[in-house]
Amino acid sequence: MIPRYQKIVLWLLLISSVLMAAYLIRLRARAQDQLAAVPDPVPMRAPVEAPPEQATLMVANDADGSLAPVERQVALPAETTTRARALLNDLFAYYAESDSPHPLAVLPAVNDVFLLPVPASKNASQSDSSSASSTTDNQIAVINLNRSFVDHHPSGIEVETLTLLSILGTLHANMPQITQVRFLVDGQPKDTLAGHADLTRTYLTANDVPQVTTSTNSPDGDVSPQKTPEKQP
Amino acid sequence: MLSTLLLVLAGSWSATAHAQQMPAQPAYPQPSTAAPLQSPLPAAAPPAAEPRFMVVLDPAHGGADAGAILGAGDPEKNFIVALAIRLHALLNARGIHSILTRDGDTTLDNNARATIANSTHAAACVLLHATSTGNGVHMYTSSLPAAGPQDARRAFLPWQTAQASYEMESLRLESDINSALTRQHIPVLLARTSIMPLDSMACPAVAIEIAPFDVKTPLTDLTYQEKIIEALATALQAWRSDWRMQP
Ligand SMILES: [Zn+2]
Repeated sequence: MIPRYQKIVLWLLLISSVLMAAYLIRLRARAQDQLAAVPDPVPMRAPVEAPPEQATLMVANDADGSLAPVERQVALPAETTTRARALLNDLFAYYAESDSPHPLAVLPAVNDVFLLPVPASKNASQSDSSSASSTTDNQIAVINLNRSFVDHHPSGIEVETLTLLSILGTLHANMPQITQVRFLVDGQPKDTLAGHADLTRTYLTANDVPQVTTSTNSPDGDVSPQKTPEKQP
Repeated sequence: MLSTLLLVLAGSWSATAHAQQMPAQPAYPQPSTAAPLQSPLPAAAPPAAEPRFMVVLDPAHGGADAGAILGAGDPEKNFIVALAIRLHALLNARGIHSILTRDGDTTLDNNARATIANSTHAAACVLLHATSTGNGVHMYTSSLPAAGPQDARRAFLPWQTAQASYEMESLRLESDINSALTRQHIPVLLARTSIMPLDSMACPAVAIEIAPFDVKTPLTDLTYQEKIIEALATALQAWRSDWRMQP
């Protein structure tokens, strides 16, 4: 038979351990609440305090299929990923304006931009694969488009091609280290933008924009679809 | 008490360990340096004395894929197949052999279209689209970088980029069509793009997108349509001579 005092000690120990467990659970819940109250450290938009800089948007025009530079004052953060996204946000804000030459109404157009170093096999200057150090080396931009923007994008070869060229041209004009661009839509690969322009391939910002064809009317710039001189009203 | 603490400690340790084991590579697609040889093309027809001049007309979209919605609410797929059928008839009347990838409202994927063009060894592949944006005719050749030496081709071509070996011929075909449209006083936009199945076609190929002539003359204008069909037929006749004269 267990002595009475031992029973009492046992019960006291049991009760105290239950109380301490309850206190521990309460502490944990409180810590969780405190953690949740801390604001999300991932910046969702370009910080407002970034100083406005002159940026060149390559703006598409549906009427004549052209791409023309437009100078804008844009708040551009120094960090390259947010800088690329701020540039594209400004480009699509321009297209959403009422007198847009290339009307695209649904915003945001771009969810994220990821910048990655071009693999060493293509970028012979850097054999070391330590990725973070190569800020001056060529980069691939993976542009994650917004599904709703893509679903509402007008369908047609010209209009879709111009949207892609405008993105490539704007990145090339302001961030020449971005030499390749790939596209995703809500994180998934998609065949076309809106039934025409190919979204599955890797675009080269310097080469994939239209180059010299048989006509002679356009300037020699990288980024300019060619028009025939004979266009008549 | 002790056991509770141990459990908490074990839980936090395993969470940290899990985080450390997470691979530090993002899930992004790597750019492919070499496209997989999905469907290598068979060797093309040997250079015969009388090569057959065949035109492949590819009215885009069809079936489940309506394409763009045109001004009057018409789907692009219906407008363009009707126009292609009329062009096909005119070509046949002028002694130019042509085939249509579709002549009804059927769903046809891009690989099937390219397979038709490539198995025909076509002398010209004309992809037909329509849009309500812009004006005149927008004409596109592939924006793929041109492939290497001419003699390296006609053996095996990567399916995704077969058109890269036909850049020069496609530009010459585009030039013939441009001249014929300009003679009909139709505004022409020449540009490059990357669309399927154009990039997979092993033939001189252009994509033609027909837009309204101007604000007063919509796509439905029959005179405008006639001018385009006439210009395309004339251009393909001119291309037949150019194509036969090439080495
Ligand atoms: Zn189309």
